[in-house]
Amino acid sequence: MTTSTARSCGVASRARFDESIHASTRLRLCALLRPVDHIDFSVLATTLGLSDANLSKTVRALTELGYMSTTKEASTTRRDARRTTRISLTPAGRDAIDGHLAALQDLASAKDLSATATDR
Amino acid sequence: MESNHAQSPASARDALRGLEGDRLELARRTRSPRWYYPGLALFTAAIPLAPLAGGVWVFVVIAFACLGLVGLERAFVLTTGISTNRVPGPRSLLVLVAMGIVVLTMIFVSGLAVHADSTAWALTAGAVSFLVMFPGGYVYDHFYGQELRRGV
Repeated sequence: MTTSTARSCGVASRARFDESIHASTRLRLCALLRPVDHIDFSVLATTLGLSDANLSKTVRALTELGYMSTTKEASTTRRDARRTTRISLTPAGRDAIDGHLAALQDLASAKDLSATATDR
Repeated sequence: MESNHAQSPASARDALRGLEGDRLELARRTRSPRWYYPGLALFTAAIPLAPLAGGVWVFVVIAFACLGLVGLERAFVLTTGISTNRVPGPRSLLVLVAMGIVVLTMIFVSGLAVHADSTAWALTAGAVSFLVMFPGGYVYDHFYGQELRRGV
């Protein structure tokens, strides 16, 4: 990844590495939710290529951490009584992912700086 | 725990690179359906045109236009499964603010025009609102997708 790609995440936030969202699935999930209000469970599962069980487990863990919230709504597309689950980041989750992305960008560009220094 | 490895510059770059594909997919999924912006332009144009209805009908037209706008947003969320009421970056924000200023100005112009018995100016205000919202919506979509893809 180049420095410009690292910058492209565009996170103007205080860098804070958050171990609890660094695992790949958690990070992708939080990053996907960051620019939007909420995403349907099924859309998230498809986009991330996860099984319902895996996504459900990850969402539950992040909800317990206070980073995510879920709401259920009657589905207009289903014939059964199941409801659509919508997932969104809480303000704490938004802060966490912003800080974590900023920390990752700092790390990524730190390498570039050291490489530049070595070149000299 | 993978923390030592996780905090190396190489893995940081890997982690950031891993998010790029998701951003592309999100940008693809949030592209508005073809019917969205014509509908948005029609309902928005109805607001500056409302004073032409006169009397209590002004409020009826405005109420229907607002219901239409809310309905459009709801239809978008049901279609895409994503609610996008956040502006991802400065360019899309600029387009949104510009469209908002034009429409508010047109509402003001229309109110003045009807007060001055100038139906033509009120119709012009409605037409300008439609013509700004229709292509303006596509411009907003373009920048919105671009900023989502870049993660701005």
